[in-house]
Amino acid sequence: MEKAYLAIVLHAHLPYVRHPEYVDSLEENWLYEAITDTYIPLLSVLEGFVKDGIDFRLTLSLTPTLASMLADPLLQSRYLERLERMIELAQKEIKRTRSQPEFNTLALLYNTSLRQVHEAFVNRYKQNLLQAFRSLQELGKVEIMACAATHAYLPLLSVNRSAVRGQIGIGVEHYRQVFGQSPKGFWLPECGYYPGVDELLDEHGLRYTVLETHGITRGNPRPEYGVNAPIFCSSGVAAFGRDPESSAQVWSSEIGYPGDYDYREFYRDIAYDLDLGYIAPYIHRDGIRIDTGFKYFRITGKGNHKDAYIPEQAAEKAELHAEDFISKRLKQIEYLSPIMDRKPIVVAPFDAELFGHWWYEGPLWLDHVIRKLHLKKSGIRLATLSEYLEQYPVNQVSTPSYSSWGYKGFNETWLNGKNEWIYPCLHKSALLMERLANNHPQAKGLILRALKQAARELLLAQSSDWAFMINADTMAQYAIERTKKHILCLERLAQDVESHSIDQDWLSTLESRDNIFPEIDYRFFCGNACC
Amino acid sequence: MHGCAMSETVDKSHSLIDSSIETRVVLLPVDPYLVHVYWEVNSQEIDRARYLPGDTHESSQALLRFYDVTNVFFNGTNANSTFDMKIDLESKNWYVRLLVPDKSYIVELGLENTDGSFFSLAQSNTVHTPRAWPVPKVDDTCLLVDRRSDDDSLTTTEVYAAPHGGAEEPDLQEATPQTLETEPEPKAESLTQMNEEQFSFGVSSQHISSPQCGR
Repeated sequence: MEKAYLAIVLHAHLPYVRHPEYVDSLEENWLYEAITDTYIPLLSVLEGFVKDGIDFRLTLSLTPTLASMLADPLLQSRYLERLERMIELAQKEIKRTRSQPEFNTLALLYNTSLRQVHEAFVNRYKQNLLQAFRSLQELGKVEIMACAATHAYLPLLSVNRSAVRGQIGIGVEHYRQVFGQSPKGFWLPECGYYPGVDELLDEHGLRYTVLETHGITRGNPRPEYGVNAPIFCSSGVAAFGRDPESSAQVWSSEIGYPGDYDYREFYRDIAYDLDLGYIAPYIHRDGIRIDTGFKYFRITGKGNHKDAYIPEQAAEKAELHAEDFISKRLKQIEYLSPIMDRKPIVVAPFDAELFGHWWYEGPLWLDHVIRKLHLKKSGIRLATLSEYLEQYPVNQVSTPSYSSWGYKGFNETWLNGKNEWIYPCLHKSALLMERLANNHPQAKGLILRALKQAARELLLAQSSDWAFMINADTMAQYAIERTKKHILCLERLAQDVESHSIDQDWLSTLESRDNIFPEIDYRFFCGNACC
Repeated sequence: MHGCAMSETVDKSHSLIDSSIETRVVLLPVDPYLVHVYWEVNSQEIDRARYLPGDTHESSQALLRFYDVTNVFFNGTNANSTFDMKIDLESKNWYVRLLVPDKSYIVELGLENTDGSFFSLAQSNTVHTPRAWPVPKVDDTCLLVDRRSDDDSLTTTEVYAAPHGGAEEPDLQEATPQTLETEPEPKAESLTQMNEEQFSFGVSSQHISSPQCGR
C-alpha cells in the first residue's frame, strides 16, 4: 500500500524555429538534436515500461510550438536527412578512431544508437512522434498537459487580458486537435503565475497547473501542507507546487546528479576539435561549427582536462543516483506522513530536454527510478496530477503568490535592461490585434486569412524564448530579429486589413513561412469573451 | 538601443514622444521590491501642459506619482499613500525600488509646474507586487473546497475546517464551531517554512540552461 505519491512532470518545449527560407538553418538543429537526444530516447524508455508490464505514470507538457514542428513534413524530412548524415559520420568516426580503442568504442556506440533512432523514426513512428505520445496518453500511462500557444511569459503580457486569453485559448484548441481530447492540466510557461491567470484557465475547463515552490508557500491564506498537497485558487483551478528538494537533486548543475564526473561532458564535441576539412559536411553549410553529438569525454572535473567517457561507469552511476533519489524521497515521506491527514504528493517537474540532451544519462536514470519504484514496493506510487486530484478532491482554498521558476523566482529574467524594449512593442501589438478582432468578428475570405496570419505573427512574437535568449546573450541577435520581424508583419497586415488593400502574394508567402496553427481562431483576441 | 517595432522604421531609433501616438504609461513588477515603468507621450499633450497658467514646459518637472492602492478601490483621492519620482521624460522607462512588497500600485505620469500644480498625462494599470515571504498565519480555520467531476461537469462544495486536524473527508464536512477551535499541531505548520528554506537555497532553472541557449 502506498504511503505517498510522486509526480514526475516533464516539460518539453522548443520555440518555433522552422525556416523554409533557408537551406540550412542553425536554429532548426535545436529540434533535430532534441529528437535524437531526448524525445526518441524518452519514448523508448516509456514504451519499454509498457512492453515489460511496468505500471507507471508520467505527466508531460508538450508545447504547441514543439508539437507543430514534430508534425511538420518539411522538418521531418530535414531531420531524416540530418540523421542520415550523422550515421555517415559515425562510419567515418569508426574508421578514424581505429587506433584509439577508448574512442572507437564510443564511435561504435553512437553508430548503434543513431541506427536505432533511425529505425524508430522511420518505421515505428512513421516520422511523426506525436502519435506515440498520444498513444501513451490513451493507455492511461502518460498525462499530457496543455501549454500557452507559443510559450509566452504570461505575467508580463497580463496588461492586455486578451493577449493572455489568446495564448491560453489557442494553446488549448491546438491540444484538442492534436491529442483528440480536452486537456486537464495546463503548464504555465516558466511557471509564470500572477493572481487572476487561473480564472482564464478555468474558462477553458482546465483543472490544474504547476507553480514554483514559493507560488504555493506564499499563498494567502497560508497553505497548511506547503507543496505536498495542491491548493484550490478561488477560481477552482488546483495549483501544485514544485518540490524543492527533488528539484535540487536533478536540476542543480553544482550539487545535482548531472554534474557527476562520470557522466558525459556536453561541451566537448568533435565538431569543435577536428579539422574543418573533415567535419565540414556535418556542420552548418557556412562552416559554422555546430554540435554533432559525437562526444568522447566525461565531465572528469572542473578544469579543462577531460578523460575519455566510459559508458559502463556512467551507467552504474545512473543506477546509484536513481537509488539515491528514491531513498531521499522515502526519508521525505517518513517525515511527512505522520503530520498530514492524507498521502502527500511530491511534484518533481523538469525540462524534458535535460534528459538525454544536456544530461546524456538522464533517460537511463529515469528508467531506473521508475523500474525500481515498481519492483521495490517502496510505498511510493507514481501518479499523474489529475489522479491525485481524483483521490483528494477536497483541498484548501488559497490564492497563490506571483511567481516563476526563473532567476530569483519572479520576472527579472524576462524583464531587465537588455530585453525591456520588447514590452512596449508586445503590448501595443496585442492592442492592435484586439482592435482587429473586435472590428471584424465575422471575417471571411481574404480578410479572414489576413486576420488569422496577424494572430500567428502576434503569437510568434510573444514567445518567452526571445526575451530569455536576449537576456542570456545566446543567439540574441536571432531572438531580436524574430521579435521585430513578427511585430512588423502584424503591423503591416493590420494596415492592409484596415485600408482594404491586402497584398495577396505577400500574405501567401507569410502563410507558408509562419505556418503554425493552420486552424487558428483569431477571435480569441477579442476584447470580450463573447466575440 | 531598440525602438518599439510598431513603426516601419523599426531599426532606426525613434522618439517615443510623438504627435501621432496615444500617451500611456505602463507599470510592470520585476520582483517584490522593484517595478519597471515605461511610457509613451503624445507631443500635443506636452503642448497642452505648456500653456498652463504661469508656467512653461521647459521649467516643469516630469514625475511618476506612485499611489499605494492596496485594498482600495481607487477614485483618485483615496490612496493609502503617495510618493513622487522625478524622471527624464526622454528616458522612456524607469526602474523604481520599493521598500515594502505585497502592495498594489497605480502610477500617474505627469508634469509638476513650479507652482506645485500637477498636470497628469496618463494613468497606469494597477500592479500588485509579489510577496517576499509567507503570509502570517492569522486564523485557525481554513476554507476547503470539494471539487470533483460528476459526469461532464464539476461540482464544487465549500467546507470550513480546522487545519491539521487529521480528519478524513466526511469529518471535515461536519466541522462544528468546537472543532474550529482545535489547536493546530505546531509541527505541521513548519511545512511551509521548510519548503521556503529549501527553496531559498536558490534552485532555479537558470542553473541549467534551456537547450536553445547552450551555445
